[in-house]
Amino acid sequence: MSVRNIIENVLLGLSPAGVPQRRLRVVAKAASYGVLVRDSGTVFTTRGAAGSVVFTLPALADSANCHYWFVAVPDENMTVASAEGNNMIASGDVAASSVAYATANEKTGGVFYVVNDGTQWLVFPHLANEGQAITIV
Amino acid sequence: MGLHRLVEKVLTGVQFGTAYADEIRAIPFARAGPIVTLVNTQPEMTALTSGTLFIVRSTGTFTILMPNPLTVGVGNYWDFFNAVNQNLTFDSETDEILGYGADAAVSLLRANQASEKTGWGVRWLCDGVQLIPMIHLADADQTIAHVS
Repeated sequence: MSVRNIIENVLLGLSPAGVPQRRLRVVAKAASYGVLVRDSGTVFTTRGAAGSVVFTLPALADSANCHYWFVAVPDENMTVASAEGNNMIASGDVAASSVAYATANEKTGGVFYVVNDGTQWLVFPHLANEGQAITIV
Repeated sequence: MGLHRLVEKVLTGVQFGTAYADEIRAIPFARAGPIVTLVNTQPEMTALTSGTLFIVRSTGTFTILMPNPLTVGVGNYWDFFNAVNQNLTFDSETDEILGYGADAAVSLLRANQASEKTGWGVRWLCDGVQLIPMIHLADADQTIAHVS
């Protein structure tokens, strides 16, 4: 395969060999982590964590259009927090500082999808169960 | 980003479309995949179909058999939307599905309560250990059962 073929495949969204690439980057974090701009598009899980995990988002001004997924795996608190505070839109709160799955027996399976629209962090919760609680601060 | 850098990233296994540099951070995490309607047919859930949105229009109770997360490939995902008022179950051979609450792993995920079947969706993501359901509830009362 020529370099030209490889480039064409990549520009078409295919692998270098021409196979469709629709795969997400998945990274497990067992301890708290400062999310980076270059992590945009990543699915973070808390797999392996033995205690609370806090994901701190990058500075709002530096991360327009960035987006991240967060998945609570073990029955441990998972928090997603903004770096500056008071700039997340969550349920009933247009100026939240953090969102979390932190209620006993309601943590595993909780998901947050977070998007920086250039002004704030938009929080899309994906509940594992209709009774799952989200803690908003 | 220079062309040589782009080629270098791809050849070294860096996925195009997930941002590793500021220049491409606005590119969607994965390009849109095909949409396939299922009518009582088992979907093909492989790396080749990753990114597909399956619209379920079954004519009766329907069970979808899930692939083995140890072999299907990290980062592959499939979206499902139940468009009909029929029981829909996702069934793994063993406890290979991320559970809820006290259940770290379950075998089944299903919606089968009367009048609570239509309109829910789920993205199934493989992290190499389990299949992770990212659930979209149709409303706040919809019951999704995780069954060990």
